[in-house]
Amino acid sequence: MKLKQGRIGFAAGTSLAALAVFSSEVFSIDSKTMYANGNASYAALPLAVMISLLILLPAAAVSEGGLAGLFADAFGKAGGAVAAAVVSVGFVRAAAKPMTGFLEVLARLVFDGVPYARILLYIMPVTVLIAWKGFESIGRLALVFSGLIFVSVLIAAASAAPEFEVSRLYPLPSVNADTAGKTLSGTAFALPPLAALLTNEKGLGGKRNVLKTAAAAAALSAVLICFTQLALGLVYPYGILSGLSMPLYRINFLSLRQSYALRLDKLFIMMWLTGCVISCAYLVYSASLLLTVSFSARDVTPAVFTLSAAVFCFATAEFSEKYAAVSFAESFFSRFGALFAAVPILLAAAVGSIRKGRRIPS
Amino acid sequence: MFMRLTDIVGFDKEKRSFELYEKEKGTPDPFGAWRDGRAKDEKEPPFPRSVCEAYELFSKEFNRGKNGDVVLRRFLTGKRRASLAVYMNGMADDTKVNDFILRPLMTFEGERITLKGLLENTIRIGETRRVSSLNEVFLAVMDGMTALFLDGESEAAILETHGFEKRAIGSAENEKVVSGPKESFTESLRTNITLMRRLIHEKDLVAETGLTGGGGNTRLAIVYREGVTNEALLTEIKRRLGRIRTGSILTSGMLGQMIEDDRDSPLPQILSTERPDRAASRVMQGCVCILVEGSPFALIMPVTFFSLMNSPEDVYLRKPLGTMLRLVRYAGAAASVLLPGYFLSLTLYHHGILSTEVLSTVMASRMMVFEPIGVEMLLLLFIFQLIREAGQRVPGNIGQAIGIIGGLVMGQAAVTAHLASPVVLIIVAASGLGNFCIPDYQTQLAASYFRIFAVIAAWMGGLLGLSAAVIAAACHMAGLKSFGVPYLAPFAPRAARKRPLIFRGDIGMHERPDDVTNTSFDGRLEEEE
Repeated sequence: MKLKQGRIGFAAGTSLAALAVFSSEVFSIDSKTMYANGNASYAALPLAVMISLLILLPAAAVSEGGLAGLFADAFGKAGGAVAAAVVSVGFVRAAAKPMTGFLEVLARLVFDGVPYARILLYIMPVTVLIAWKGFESIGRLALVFSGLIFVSVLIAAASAAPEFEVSRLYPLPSVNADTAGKTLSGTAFALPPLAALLTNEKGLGGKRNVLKTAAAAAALSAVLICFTQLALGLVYPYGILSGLSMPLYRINFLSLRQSYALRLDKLFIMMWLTGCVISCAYLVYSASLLLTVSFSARDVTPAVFTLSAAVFCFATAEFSEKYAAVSFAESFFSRFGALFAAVPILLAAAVGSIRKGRRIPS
Repeated sequence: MFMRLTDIVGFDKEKRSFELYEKEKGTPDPFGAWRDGRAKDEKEPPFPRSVCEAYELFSKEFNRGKNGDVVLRRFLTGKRRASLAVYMNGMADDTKVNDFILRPLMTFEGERITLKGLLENTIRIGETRRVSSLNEVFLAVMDGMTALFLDGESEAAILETHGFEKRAIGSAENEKVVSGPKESFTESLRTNITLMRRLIHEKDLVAETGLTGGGGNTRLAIVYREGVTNEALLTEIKRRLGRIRTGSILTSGMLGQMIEDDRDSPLPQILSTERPDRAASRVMQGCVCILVEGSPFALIMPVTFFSLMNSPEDVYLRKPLGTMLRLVRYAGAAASVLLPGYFLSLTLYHHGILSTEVLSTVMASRMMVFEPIGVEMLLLLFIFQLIREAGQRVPGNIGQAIGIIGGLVMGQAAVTAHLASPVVLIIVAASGLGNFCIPDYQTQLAASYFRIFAVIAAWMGGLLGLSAAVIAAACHMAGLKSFGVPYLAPFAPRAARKRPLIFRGDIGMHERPDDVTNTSFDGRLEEEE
């Protein structure tokens, strides 16, 4: 067996999951939809993270042998493999989405006019390498970079403090259909990184560690997301925000104008891109592991390469507006993306808990 | 066919990996396998029962007709019992053999002559032992000992008569410190063990000597602290030593490559040091030290990236100074690796980051330079490597002169000839200086070659390419292990530590061994209490 699971500790696991949740939530959001009728992202996105955690908890409680084991117990071997394939699509989608955001910013603001695919050709080999090295390397890499990435985010957000104005937060968020919709949309990207922890149950040293790590990562990322989105809301009114792709990058220009060789905006975006690469590799590896175990394969490598190619296609396809199928897929995933990961996990948790309940008396 | 293919490429076969934090399954080969130094299936000749037989055997085995330095001395012990002394001329001390072995035996006047009795009462040599294995006798003779045979005995006596010439203890040339011990290891294994023992006054210090596995020629010693060093680590090291199958004479550098985890990695997973104080300090922390006969370097294992970045000087200086030294060293190392690539990406792709003044200075300095800036950078880096290599190979002071000529004259000439611009020259020189801040030579080399890789990546893709190169390198380091200890420990993975990672802690905090080596030090303390 060449599953490359290794073993990581609480600190590495938390850094990895928090980094992945943060990247998925902050760099994946569609500004047009998110800020269309006001800005509630600083409440909606952390809420989405907590909902994701709530979806994961029952699954983690009844799972034996990770997510693959949970699916196999609940739906049988064949059904479990199908469920794993569906969830893997959700993982791949969650891995590709932040990459798309970065591609857009890099192509428009950093490397003016360079084709998306060419930029991706620098990013994808590294992503494949990290995913191929396995869970242990990914976790340690996240531990190395997460501190720098989170500090850079905090500096970027805090450095815009002179521009903060509370009136820009108007209209205040309220529990309405719009907020609920945003939360659901956010769940689409927060659930896969947390569910991936369950996939790597062995690498984390057991179910108990998975739960502990998921809770810590969710809390950490929710705080950071809230802080970031609040800073953005205080700087830009929602009308402007809805027209900006990756507003966190734009915020740098407010405070770091006219500085010299250490101008931080480019360094920051490279730092955040590093976080995105690590979280993408983490999701690709987790999806590969899930498929490998579910289909009783012995080596995770073929799945890693295949799913990395899928991420490449997902990320570049979004810019190919001439194909109707791509537009359809994009709107389909925007609406129902959350269901890909959430429904199989919830169903499996429900079936698993019923079966477990039956087994206890016997 | 497919299965055959998968066998060839090693598809789905997990790479064997040793994790120090876990007990390995299975029992490793016993240490005796490498102590003996012969392959298990090699047949040993029968032990000679008479002196004549022994004489014939040794004459044949050592090609005495051609070998002038093998001495086979036949004599009568107590004027009546036939005896034979075998030793190597030059390896053994003639005075010891004549005065403390031959003379007392020839003038022996006792009634009963037995090997045991002679060793107890007559032979005036400190280290003696009786062996019944001919292989052990051969090895001992080749090592400078004297073998003594008595007619009719089923054992031989091995007597310590080492007496070969060796270099005196000199000062460390590659790991110089301003304030601290100056002496360094020599090529003599015995001297090196003594140097370690002089520094470590602990009764648990063990120096196991033996040969590399499979009939190897290399004599070595494993130095560690019994009861402190992790047993799994020790077993794994012995297992790897036992697996060495080579007829080559191994130096410490070659031996290190044969036993480390990832031979293809440019980064060292073993610390090679010529300083006994550094080796002793690591052994006190629970690490294992291997000393090799003929090599003036000790191999220390396991190591982490952070231990490779430490210098003995850090603890010899006061805490604030030691901390500053370390910070400068890390900054130098970062500049060494990243500065040329960063500069190249700014000038080629991200002009916006540079101010108009800086940009115009760079452009003005490159006005007459005909090659692209990427080529210019690579050319200068290549010349820098060239000067470094030439400076090392040329003996003594001429090497220093080459460094000066290369640095000043060639640099000036290159600028005058419009081969290089002053700004790029300064960047390469600063990067080169930063590289010399890295204390470990092999890490220095790895960093200097990664720098070239980073420049190419930055040339191709600006900050994006540079980031990709850095992530790839970090990924490699994150997955690397040194004898089961993760390379980036105790930072990634986090391991409890009693002293700061980069900042130098108090001297008092160094009393306990490093946690990354997972020593049994704490357990031993409890037992003692």
